[in-house]
Amino acid sequence: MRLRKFLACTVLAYPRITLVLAVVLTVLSVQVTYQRLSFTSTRAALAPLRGRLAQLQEDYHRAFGDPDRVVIVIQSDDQDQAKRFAVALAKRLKTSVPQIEEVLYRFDLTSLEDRFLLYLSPKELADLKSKLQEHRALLEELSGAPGLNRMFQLIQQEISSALVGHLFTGFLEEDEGKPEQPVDLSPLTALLKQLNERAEGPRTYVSPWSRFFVQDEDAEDREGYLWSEDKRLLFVLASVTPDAESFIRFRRPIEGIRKEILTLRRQFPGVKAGVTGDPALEYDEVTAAQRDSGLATIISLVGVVLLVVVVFRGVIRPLMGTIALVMGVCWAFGFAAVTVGLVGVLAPMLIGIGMDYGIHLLARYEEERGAGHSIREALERAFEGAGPGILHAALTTAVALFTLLLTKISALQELGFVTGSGLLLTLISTFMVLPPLLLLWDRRRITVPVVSRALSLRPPAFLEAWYRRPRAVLALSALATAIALYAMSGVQFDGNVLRLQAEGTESVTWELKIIKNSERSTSYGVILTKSLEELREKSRALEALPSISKVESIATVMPDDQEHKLPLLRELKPLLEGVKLEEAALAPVDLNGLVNSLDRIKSKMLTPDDVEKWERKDKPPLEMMGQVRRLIENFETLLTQRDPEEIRQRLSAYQDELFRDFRDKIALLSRAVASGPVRVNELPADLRKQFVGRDGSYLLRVFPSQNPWELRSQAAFVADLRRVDPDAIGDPVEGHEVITAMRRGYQQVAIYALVGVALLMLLNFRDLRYFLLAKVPLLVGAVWTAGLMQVFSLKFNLANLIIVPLIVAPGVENGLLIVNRYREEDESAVLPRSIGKGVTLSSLTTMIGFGSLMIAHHRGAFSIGLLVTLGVGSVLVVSLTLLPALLTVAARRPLVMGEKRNVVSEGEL
Amino acid sequence: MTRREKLSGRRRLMAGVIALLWLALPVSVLAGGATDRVRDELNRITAIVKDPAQQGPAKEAERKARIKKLILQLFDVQEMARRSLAGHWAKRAEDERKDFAELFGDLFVESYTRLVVDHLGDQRVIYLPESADGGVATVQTKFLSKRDEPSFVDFAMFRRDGIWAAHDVVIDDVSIVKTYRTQFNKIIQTQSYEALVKKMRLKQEAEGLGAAAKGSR
Repeated sequence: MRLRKFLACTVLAYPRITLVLAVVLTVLSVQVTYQRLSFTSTRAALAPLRGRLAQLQEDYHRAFGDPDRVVIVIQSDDQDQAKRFAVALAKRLKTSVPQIEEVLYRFDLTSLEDRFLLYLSPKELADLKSKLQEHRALLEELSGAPGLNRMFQLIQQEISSALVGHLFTGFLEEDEGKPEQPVDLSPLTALLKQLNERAEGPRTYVSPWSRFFVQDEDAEDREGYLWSEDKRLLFVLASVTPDAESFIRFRRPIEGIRKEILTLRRQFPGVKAGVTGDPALEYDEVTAAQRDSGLATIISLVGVVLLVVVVFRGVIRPLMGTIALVMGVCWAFGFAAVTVGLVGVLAPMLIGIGMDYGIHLLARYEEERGAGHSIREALERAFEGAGPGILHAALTTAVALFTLLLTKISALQELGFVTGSGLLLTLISTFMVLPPLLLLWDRRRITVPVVSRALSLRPPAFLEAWYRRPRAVLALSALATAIALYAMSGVQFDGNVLRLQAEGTESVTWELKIIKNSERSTSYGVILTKSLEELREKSRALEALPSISKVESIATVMPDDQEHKLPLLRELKPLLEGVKLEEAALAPVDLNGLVNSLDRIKSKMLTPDDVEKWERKDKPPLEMMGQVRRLIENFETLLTQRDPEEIRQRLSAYQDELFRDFRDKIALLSRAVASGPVRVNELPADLRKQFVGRDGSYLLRVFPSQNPWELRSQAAFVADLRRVDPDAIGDPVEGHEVITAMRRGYQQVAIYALVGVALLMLLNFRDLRYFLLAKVPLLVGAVWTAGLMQVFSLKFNLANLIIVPLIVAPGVENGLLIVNRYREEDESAVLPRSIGKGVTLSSLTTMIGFGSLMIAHHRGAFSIGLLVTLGVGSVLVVSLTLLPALLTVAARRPLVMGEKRNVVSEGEL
Repeated sequence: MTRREKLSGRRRLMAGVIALLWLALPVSVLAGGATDRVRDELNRITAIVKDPAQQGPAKEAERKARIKKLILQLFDVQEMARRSLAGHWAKRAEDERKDFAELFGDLFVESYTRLVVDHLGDQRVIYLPESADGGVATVQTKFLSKRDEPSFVDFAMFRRDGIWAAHDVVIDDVSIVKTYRTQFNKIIQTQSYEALVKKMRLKQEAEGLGAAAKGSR
């Protein structure tokens, strides 16, 4: 009564002024929205954290910056081609894509070349020492008289020496606990291979010398390219600038990078390359959502409009309802813009729920107009009849949404705040805008026969059959609920945000490829330390953990245990003193002499026949010996088949390269044995920037061994990280925190909302029976929804969880409106036509509006569409079947369904 | 010039030639003896290695024993032991030298037998011109495998009691004695003479050897 009076004295008394006020408010809201509102992706919307973790994250960003980094992945079986691709791409990106701030494809570590010995293990240094001792004479002689002939003579002597040593004095070393190693023929094999290749024709020079001294497996790593462990994936990192003006912040940089990759791939046909990392994932998500949302919007708009127009048999009144709703949504947007500043799912949520109020008001208005009342009278009666129900439904739903404020997740709090307040604003717009519009412009005459009061209280014709058998409906519903209760235990939560994206999304495909084929991911843990010692200690602890595949830090490029290695290096120094570093004249290649030396080498290479009668256990390395033998024979065959002079010239050219390189290697080794320790400030600046913060802290990048996007492996990884450092941060930690808090938050919200809604309903009804009946659509609808989720293999995820209030709202509304009307009619009507129409129409509009998302490729959007359709559909079916059946059974004055009344032929629904 | 004077002149010339021949003779005779000595011993060893009656595991011990005997006849292992210890030999007492020589002899003969049996025994030997200087000579040989692949083996010989004996073998420019010397010196320098003897004795025991050198004299 008070609502009717209030509205009659205000909006109905001053309809034009009210409308002008509403329009002014709308214009202002649009203006504010345009200026201040921004769009965020699901991931970005979920990112903000609070508390200590947020503080740590902020400290990290302050120390290391917070660049938006795109990860470009290059895949090729040919490492050189991959490297050339990376170099070419980096060059093109720097010149062609202005939104790229920095491209990083290698850390140039050549300045550390002189310190390469410090990167070897003590055992490797001991091996080097013994090799230098073993080959000392060869090195000294070769440096004084370099040349291919001399080199093979010396090798021949070394082999003889090894043979004699093995036979006569080998036992002296055996006793020292060093089992005698067979002669390592791999350096000789390498040289012979090159000799053959160079005799055949020109080849790119590849240094064979490292095999003689030290197998420096990390030498390639010091080229600084960002390889995966198996060298099949090469990474290029590009820091990009987001476009603050655009809704799709990373459109230009991502499209620019992809264009350059496409162009380059034509020149490198064996190379595959793609883009991933946060900006690429966001761009792909937003563009997919935008692409899908265009068609979905058209489908939902057309569907909703058609439905409403058909049901209301006209365009004007639904249009008026839509105008009221749009204004309400604009106000909500304006309110959101001046408060929290983001929308996310605000618009669809408000349209989905807010539309209901207009529909219920219009349905009741139509009913009253159908009963022969004037427009004003019909409006006042609608205010009086449907108003309190709508008001209570809106308040109750808003309270349910406001309970999100009690969670600790800022994204949920903001969502609760803007949707709750937005809902109230759409409620206000429904009462403030729709009635004046109807009052001023609803000129439609009542052409249908005036419907009797009794008829209007009857349920829609197609449902009547059900209501004649309420107990059958109850039994069927009980069965369905029992099945759903059984099935709902299997409902799961899928926290993997990558699975929200469309199937085949490029950035997701490449991210999964990185996880599968390398020890990395674009999602990694971060630990900061104050000192290098702490860094090494934590690094060691992390590497021992099963959930961790790789730890990257400045220590990766800093040699460890330098203070112990430096004296070992000094021990090597005397062994190189006799080696001459100055350039010596090369003797011309003498093919006869060369063949003579090779023949003598060959004579020491035993065959299986030679050792057949041996009774000793220490058999020679026959396989390697056979290889040496074959290579020498091949070379000798070449000499007989080709022009010897041509071969001599080719080998002379090879000799030049080989001994230039020999001098360089010896010079490097001499410098290395005299070098000092590697210090952090000597490392390249771009490398230090990555791993040493502005505040002097050291960064540990910790990569998970399992997929960090999956909840279970993410939880194990985060637990391990925290075992080593409770202050660990990074994407997996953030994701784990957000998801854990969201799950906890939703559990809390469920309890708060249930209690809040229950209290408000109790306050509304002040009757336990009505209260329990009104709760049926929400509770049973929720159980049916959960059961159907199992049937449709639908899981809760970070996208569809946010939309859950959309199911709660009709659950609350339908219960409140139907039971209120039931009470209003003194329990004589279980589902009056206008209520049936309102409930059905409001649910169907929501289902069509969101169901259209099921055409989306974005799997998150699809899951929203499916969940809303199943949830709102379940609530609707419960509201139209189970609740009226319960009302029929529970009624003090049950409606006699077979009672003859004024018959109208048309079904109005 | 009278006939007497002519004869006297001829005699002087003859005497000069003979004197020259005498000067030259010992070298060639002695040197030729070194090669022959090596050839004889190697032929005997080859005959044992190739003897069908000496093949098979059952004959192994006997075959080795016969080869060892021949090796001991060719080599002066005491001299080799002395040269292998080099400066350290002089610092040892007479008993120690004797023990060491015996020990060395056992090990050397065992290793050389293995070299012969496993590597050189069935190879064809070509004797190259030898070089000689007084009581020492180098017998240069080329061993050709069944695939005609060459190895150059030089025997360093000296005359002992009128008989040529070997005191070193150089295989493709690598001297066995020098190899011993380097290793022995390393152990004595880094550990001790006693440690060296201990290692050698352990090897001797492990191979089941004993006093082979005694038979060399």
